[in-house]
Amino acid sequence: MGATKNFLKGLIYMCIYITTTMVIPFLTFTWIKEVQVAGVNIVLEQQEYDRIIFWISAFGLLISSCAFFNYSSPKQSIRKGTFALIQILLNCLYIWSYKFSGATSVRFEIVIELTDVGFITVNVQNLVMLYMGVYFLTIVLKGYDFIDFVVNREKIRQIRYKKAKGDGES
Amino acid sequence: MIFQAELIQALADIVGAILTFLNPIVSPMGSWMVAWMDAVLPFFPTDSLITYIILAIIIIVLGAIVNSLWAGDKPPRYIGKLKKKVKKAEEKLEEAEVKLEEKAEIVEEKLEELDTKIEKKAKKIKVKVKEEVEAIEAELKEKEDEAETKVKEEVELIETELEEIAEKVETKVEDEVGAIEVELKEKEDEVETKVKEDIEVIEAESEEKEDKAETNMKEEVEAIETELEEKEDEAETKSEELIEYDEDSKE
Repeated sequence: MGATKNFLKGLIYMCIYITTTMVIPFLTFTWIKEVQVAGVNIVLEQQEYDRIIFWISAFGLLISSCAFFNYSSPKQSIRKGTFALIQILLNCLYIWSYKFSGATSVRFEIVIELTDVGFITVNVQNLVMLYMGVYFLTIVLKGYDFIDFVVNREKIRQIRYKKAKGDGES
Repeated sequence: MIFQAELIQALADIVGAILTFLNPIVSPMGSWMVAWMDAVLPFFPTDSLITYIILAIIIIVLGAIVNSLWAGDKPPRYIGKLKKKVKKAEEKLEEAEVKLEEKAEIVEEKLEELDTKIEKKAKKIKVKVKEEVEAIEAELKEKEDEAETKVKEEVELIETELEEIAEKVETKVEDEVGAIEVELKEKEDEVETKVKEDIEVIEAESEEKEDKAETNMKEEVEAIETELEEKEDEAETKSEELIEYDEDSKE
């Protein structure tokens, strides 16, 4: 029962991460690529778009797979701690990829009747940096969790086995 | 406006306020994050997504296998096996301990029996040993007495022999001493006569030598006197010559 439950949990979280890290950003950027506001075409450069999509899908894949491993692992286990930490680090890289791929400062070309009139740039770099600070704290927390799992390994195991026994009996 | 500008402006203001408030705390953290990410990112391939897909598949498969094998609700099989083995070993140990205790009791009983037997035998042996010791002591005393008498007799015999030998030695020594004394007296007489003869010879020689010395002395004295007279004569002649010379010079 435990194995299937874990597996299902892992699958669900993997799906959630795929949608949040890959599908939604992909759809957003494809929608943004050629958006029409008040009859005016705002076009995202193809090269920029490709680069953003590449990094989103690369890190999205890694994050989703790590999420599967993380959430299918038993609670407070060392492997869970390890993969949670890896996942957070990958998340940081994922967020950072928005910056270095140019997604934090997207340049939109304004096209009216096939003529390029000008461009708009949306800069969310500071927001990304703030998010990085938050992630730093998360890394510290996950690191602490990992150390806690390693140090109190036997205690955690015994509690977990007792819980599992209690669930089985009930 | 294209977007609702007022709303965006308000949002931007809020975010800006948050950022400026958190900036002193967040910026060092952010710079550290940027540093490690810049160091790590060059290792990620930028050519194709295949490596990422492979990696993701590997992680998912690994996760599925590991977490289905060791779901965490039971201790791993190898631990269960180990526990079983430990239990079996403990049971065997307990059985062995019980057997050992039984054997130890039997051995103790046997040991007690053996102790009583040994004590009895020891008592018997002690009595026997005492009797034997007494017999040996009596024999020893007899032998000592015999030896003492024998030694006394031998000592007496040796003493008489020694006395006889001492007497013989004394008589021999006396005889030899008398002979030696006689010889010594003869030798003394001889030496005395020889000494006397030598003294006479020496005296005669000394007298001769004295006479010779006297004659020699007289001759020498005479010679010296004649020389003195000659020299006196020479001195007189020279004084006369001097007087003549003085007179000549005065003139």
